[in-house]
Amino acid sequence: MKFINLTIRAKITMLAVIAVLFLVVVGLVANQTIGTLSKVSRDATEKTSVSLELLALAAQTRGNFRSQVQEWKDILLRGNDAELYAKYFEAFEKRYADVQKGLSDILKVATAAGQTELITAKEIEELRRAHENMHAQYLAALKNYNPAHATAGQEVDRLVRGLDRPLHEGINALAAKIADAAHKESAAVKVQVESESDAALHVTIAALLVALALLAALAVLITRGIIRNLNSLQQTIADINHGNFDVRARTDGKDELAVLAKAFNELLDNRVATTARIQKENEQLNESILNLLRAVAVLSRKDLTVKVPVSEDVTGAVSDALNLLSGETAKVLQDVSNISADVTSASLKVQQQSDSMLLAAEDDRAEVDRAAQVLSSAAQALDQIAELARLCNTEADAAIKTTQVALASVNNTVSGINSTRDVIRETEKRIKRLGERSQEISGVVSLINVIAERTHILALNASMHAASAGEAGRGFAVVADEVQRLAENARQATQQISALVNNIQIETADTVSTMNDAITQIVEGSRLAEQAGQQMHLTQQTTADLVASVKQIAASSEVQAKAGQELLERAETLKKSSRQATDRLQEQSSHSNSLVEYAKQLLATVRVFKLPA
Amino acid sequence: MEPSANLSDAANRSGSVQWLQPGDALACFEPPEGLHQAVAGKVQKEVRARYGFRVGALGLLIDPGTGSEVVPVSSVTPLPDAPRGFLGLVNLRGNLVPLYELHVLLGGDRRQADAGMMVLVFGQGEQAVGVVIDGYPVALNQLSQLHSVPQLPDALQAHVSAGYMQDGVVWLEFDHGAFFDEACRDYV
Repeated sequence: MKFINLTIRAKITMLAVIAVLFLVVVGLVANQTIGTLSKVSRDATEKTSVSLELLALAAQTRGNFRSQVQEWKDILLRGNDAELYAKYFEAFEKRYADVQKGLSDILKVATAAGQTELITAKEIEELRRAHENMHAQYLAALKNYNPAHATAGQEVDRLVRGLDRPLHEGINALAAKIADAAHKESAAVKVQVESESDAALHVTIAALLVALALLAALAVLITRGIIRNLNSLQQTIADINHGNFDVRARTDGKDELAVLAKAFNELLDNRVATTARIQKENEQLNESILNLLRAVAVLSRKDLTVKVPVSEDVTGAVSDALNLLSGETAKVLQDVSNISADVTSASLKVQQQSDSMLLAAEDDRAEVDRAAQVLSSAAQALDQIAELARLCNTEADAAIKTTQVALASVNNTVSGINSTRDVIRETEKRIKRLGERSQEISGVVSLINVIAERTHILALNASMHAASAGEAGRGFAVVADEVQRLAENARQATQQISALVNNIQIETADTVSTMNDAITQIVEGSRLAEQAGQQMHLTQQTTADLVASVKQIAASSEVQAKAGQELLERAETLKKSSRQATDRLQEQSSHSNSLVEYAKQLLATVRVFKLPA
Repeated sequence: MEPSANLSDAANRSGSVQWLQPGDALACFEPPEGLHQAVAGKVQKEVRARYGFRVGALGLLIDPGTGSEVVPVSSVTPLPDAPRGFLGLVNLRGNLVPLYELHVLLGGDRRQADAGMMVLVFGQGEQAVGVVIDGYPVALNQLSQLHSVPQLPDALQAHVSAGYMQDGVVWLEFDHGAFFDEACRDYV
């Protein structure tokens, strides 16, 4: 329907134009009826004016006739004066002419107005003739008037008395007839005017009512069209307010409301699409946060192999930070684990070296014991030399052999002590390298501590930003708190590792100190053994000189006895030093066992974390 | 020696009463008997934690609507003829941030700026302002509101609207924006 497709502006303009047209039509109808009424009124006025003119002429004629009769009486009463007589007579004649003229005028007006039925020419002619006869009779009677007689007027009047009465009656009857006709005409005109006026009023009201009805129908039609679209738009908004985003406003027609409904539908589509997009982004963000929480939960179980999925939203930076933290921590812990394995291996080697050193020391001690026993025997033999000087020759060979054996034992002892010293020095170097490795672990632990400290600051800033973000940052605050706890755990782990490394360094320093003491003791033992060797060599030379200087044996037997006693004391000292060296080596072995145990504990502590392959 | 002993000795010597500095008095603040029972019903049941920081003996709460962060500062650029409490400018990701020392602004002595000091930055962009802090901000979620705010330094009294307590420590609601606006006006 074309009318529906019109815009509201066009509809209202059309309604206004139609209203104006209706007003014009009603005006034309009213004008027409008013024109008709005016014409009727004009005709009635014309008729009334003719009647009034006839009435005026009748009244004027009747007055003239009465004046003529009065002039007649003046002539008769005052006609004895010639001047008055002439005056009154002239007036009498003039009144006569006026009456005649009035009658003629009445006939002319009636004839001109077409009222020949009301006033006939015959009737007027009869009145004129009667008036002429009366005038003639008056003039004839006036001939008998003698101004000299006082009663002349009465006599003349007696002659014409009663002549004017029929004419009076005729003129009065004419006037009454004209008046009656005028009244009737006036009543008829009044009725006609009222009828025409009522008809005009009815036609105007009818036209006005029809125009109002048509305008009302058109207005209702336009209003219904507007209200229907408005109700549709209002119902759509109400449905949207109740959460139904699938409804759309009607877009029938091409008016402004249809355009508005289309724009509203487009706006609603955009809003629905935007809401869906925001909801999708929120779901993605929630999914990212859940992935972060799952990854943090796995990390909190010390499993560093997990990789936090990196998303494109705001949690991507946190995921990268977590991956970087877990990766760097895993690398560092892997290095710590490797170093711990090296420490364990080195500790086991140290322990093996200590065991071998302990066995060597046991052998050395046995050799020293044997040397001491031999020296004791030599001392006893030297003691017996003094007593058995005579038997020196026979037993000199035995003494030389015994001294040679003792010298060989001392030389072996010196060689074993030197070997033990070399082994201890090698062990000292390894333990120092172990201490250096421990310092490297300390550096790595410091790096882990710095990373944990920065992570702690990062998590604290994230928590404060999340707190300032209000309700929107609640989920992010949970992630930041978990990261902060993880950083705290990492820092505590590094502190434990640092404490273990410090213990290792302390034990290593103690071990090095103990080994230095052992080396000192060994050096001292070596020096004593060399002195013993020199003494044994001197004994050998002395024993060798025994054969040549057998006679001098007795003299120098006391010297030899003292030398043997001194040798015995040196041997006892050497035996004591060897025992002390053995004790130190056992203490070193104990420290090596502790070192192995600490290395195993370090390895177990580091391997608590599940590291990537 | 206890502050009260100092106070009594000083009073005995001079015959007049000497008062402690507000910061020192707040450090010695002992809650009156029954205060915790009186405010126990007003414990904030907020799920979200507030954050506070310490400046000397004062505990100040960070405005929950203000984004803030802790940054380690390596270098501070001082300005000539700057007031005592204004340490200089800090380059924070390309933005120049003024750095104040609240301890000095509140009447304390100036400390030597070191390379590893921590700075708490309020706000972002041109609205950012930094203060030197003695330790990391702490999360607070069991704050109990005090009936009245304790006596504070004059420079701080007008910018503290409420006082809270948690674990025996008083935390003050600190309006940092108004505080630094007034400080800037004083400097200008």
